[in-house]
Amino acid sequence: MVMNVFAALVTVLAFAAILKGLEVRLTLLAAGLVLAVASWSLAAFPEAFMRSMTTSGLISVILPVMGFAAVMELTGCDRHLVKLVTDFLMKMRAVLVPGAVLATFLINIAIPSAAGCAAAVGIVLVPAMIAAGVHPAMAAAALLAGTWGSVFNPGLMHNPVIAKIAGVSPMDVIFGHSRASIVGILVVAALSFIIAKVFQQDRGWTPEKAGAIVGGAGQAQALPLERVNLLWALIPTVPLILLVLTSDRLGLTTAWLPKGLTVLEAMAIGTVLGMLATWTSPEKVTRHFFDGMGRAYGLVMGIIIAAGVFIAGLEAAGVVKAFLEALKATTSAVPFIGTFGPMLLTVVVGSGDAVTLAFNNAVTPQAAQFGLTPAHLGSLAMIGGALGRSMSPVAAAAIIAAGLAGVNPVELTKRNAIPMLAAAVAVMLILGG
Amino acid sequence: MFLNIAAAVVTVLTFVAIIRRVETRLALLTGGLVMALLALNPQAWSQAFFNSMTTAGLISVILPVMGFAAVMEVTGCNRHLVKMLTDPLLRVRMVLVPAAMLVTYVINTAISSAAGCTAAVGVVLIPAMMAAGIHPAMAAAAVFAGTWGSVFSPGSPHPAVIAKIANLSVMDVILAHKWASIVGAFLVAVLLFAESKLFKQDRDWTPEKAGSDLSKAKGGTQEALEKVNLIRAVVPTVPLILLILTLPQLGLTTGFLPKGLSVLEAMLIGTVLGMLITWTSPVKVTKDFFDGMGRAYAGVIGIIIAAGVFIGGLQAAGVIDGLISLLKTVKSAVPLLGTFGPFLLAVLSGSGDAAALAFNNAVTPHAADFGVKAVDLGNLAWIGGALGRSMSPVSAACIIAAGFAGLSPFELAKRNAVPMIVAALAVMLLL
Repeated sequence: MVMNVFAALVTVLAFAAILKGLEVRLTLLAAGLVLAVASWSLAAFPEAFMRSMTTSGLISVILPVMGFAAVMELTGCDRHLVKLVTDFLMKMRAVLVPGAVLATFLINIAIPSAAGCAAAVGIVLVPAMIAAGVHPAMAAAALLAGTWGSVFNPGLMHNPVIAKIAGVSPMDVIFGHSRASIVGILVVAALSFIIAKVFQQDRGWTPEKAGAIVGGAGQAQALPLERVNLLWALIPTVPLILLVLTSDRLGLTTAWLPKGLTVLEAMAIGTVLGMLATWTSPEKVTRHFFDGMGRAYGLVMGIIIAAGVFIAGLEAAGVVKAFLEALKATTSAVPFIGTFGPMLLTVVVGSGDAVTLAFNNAVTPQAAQFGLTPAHLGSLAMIGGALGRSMSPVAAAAIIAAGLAGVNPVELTKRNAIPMLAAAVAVMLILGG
Repeated sequence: MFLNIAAAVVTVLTFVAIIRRVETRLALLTGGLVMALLALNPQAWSQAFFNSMTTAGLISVILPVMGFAAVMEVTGCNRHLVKMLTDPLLRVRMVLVPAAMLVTYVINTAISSAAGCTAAVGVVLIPAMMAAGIHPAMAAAAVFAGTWGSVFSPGSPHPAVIAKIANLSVMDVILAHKWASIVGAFLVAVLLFAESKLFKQDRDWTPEKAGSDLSKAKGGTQEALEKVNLIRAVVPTVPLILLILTLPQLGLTTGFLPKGLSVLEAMLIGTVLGMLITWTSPVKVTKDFFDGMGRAYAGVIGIIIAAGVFIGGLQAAGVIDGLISLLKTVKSAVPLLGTFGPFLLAVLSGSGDAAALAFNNAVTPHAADFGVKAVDLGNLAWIGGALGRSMSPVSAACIIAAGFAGLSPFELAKRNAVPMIVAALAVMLLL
């Protein structure tokens, strides 16, 4: 009990310190260290450091994307893209933010990894939105707000798990929550729109004015370009298009392209195309690609490592387990707990998978006792977790989006908290009513 | 058959390109791509890229070491270490040349980048040696000859690669070659001493007489240290000492320190100590540590990725198996090839890394077939490459050292050739 209170205190202090502008990596590392020491398991710190610094799933997604971004910057392709779409975006500016939310949501159905989707879409969308005058943090927040479209992907782990518990097919689970999820994303888009308007985040911003770290990955400066080269402008979108086209679920291009191109492959193809199209020296491209990967390792993986250490501290303190036990012991207010339990924990730890799985395995089979179908209760936990991730400052997707915009991940949380909470309420009322 | 010939041609072209100073990573990546395409298996390329870029054993060892190195640089601890070790040196004129080499060697175990170490040591030692009447080229050559002490650093890509192949820990790999490397270092020192005596390089020279042009020499950009802070000077060596002390084989410190500290843990402890001792802002230390990790990813892991992709291409072309069976027929030549292959390429290109990594990935896993232990063969390639670099006129370390002396890098290469070749032979016989 003492430990839980202490851990909660450390968590609050850490998040407050980050909000105050203290170096993110340092704060999370320090908080993780304090928790590990307090729970008398010092080894948890280096173990988590080691595990996070070698997470191949994240390394193989984030670094190639950032390498590609650096090459796009070098070749100037990103400026052509920005210039090409800025005129169009300027006309659409009124609905730019909600449009970005919805577009990301749709793409996330095809590219179901939140981190991978944030990276692949963000590389196109974030610089373009910034160039159109959107606040960098708002641009990144809009991207992050759309990264729960994966709830519509039958390959997402939770859909088959819920299907198995409920004795239906994964597609049935998806159809079961489709109305609630669509309402949810519309709520998110509408509230993002309102927040952008009310706080005047959607026009007249430059990265300098917003205090973003210019020169970070993917910062396209809208330098005056004489003329847009259409070919050059298309290059930054190539990896994204390839990823969507070769997506397993669509099965469009199996004849001439391998199914399920990896992010690395898509980025490598994009890099080579960019090099050829702009006829840039391969030596320069190689150097920039690897430098971009290295910078991404120091910044983005750096925050992921620090977040991993922090979460390991929470786990060592036994808080996560205690929280899960409390959730599993739920007997009342089930739709509420099922949604907001996973959501709350996901905000703090950045990934909803563990808690959603635990809840679904422990509580969802007894859904009938609470007057719900297992498919609905399971979907609530899944969507709750996914919504929590879209407002968590320690989620990989948030860290990537913030890295692309050159802002602090907590800035994204500030902007996404209300839309995500409102969407969770809407989803809960539809599915749990 | 066609593929074999094509692969041979691509391999030769790749290494020619590296010697012609095409960016190493680019040459290897392209060579691998061409072979993968010829084998109609382009996914072998991305698969190898993926595997190399996410190899936990490499990332978790190399990056923390380089993060720690970056912190030591900004906190100024490196400078204290250099000064502490070079100050007493200048009082023993007789053996200044070999002693300078050995001190550089020791410092290079802590400051493991050859170029970085040459810059840090050279700025202090080379002008001081010149002032003592040593031929400028000899002074620079002595420092340059010590820049393979990094064979004792766990931050190099090689021990991690060899450890993975031989299924040992990184420290085991390093300790497996300790005698060979120590003997090799003393051989180099003795031979340098003999050279300097024989060719009368050790007294009565002035830069003018030696024809050196010091106008281009980099002056001391950092202000001289007044006094050595002993504690600061020791900090850069703390992780290595911790790693050795906590070796499970020694069983010394199990009481108060965990057995077998990981490289990451040792570096984190060293970083925190350095931060506390120099009272540097934690924000700055955090930033520099992660920046150092990122730079190491781009540079060191970048080369590992490229070498892995190249080998992936060779494998896709089906050449590796043929090569191994060919080597089996000439068993005894394998250590020779392993040592002098990387050695030669290092001399020509300024870095033996690409060749040593390629050799270790392709051949070393089959070491048992040639009657050699994998760890020994891997170490041979590693040390061979490092020795070759220490006599290469095109390596960054050589150019930096020559800059301090105001002479052509070839003057240094000339003086280091004999010691390095002899040391390579000695190491080969010992391993």
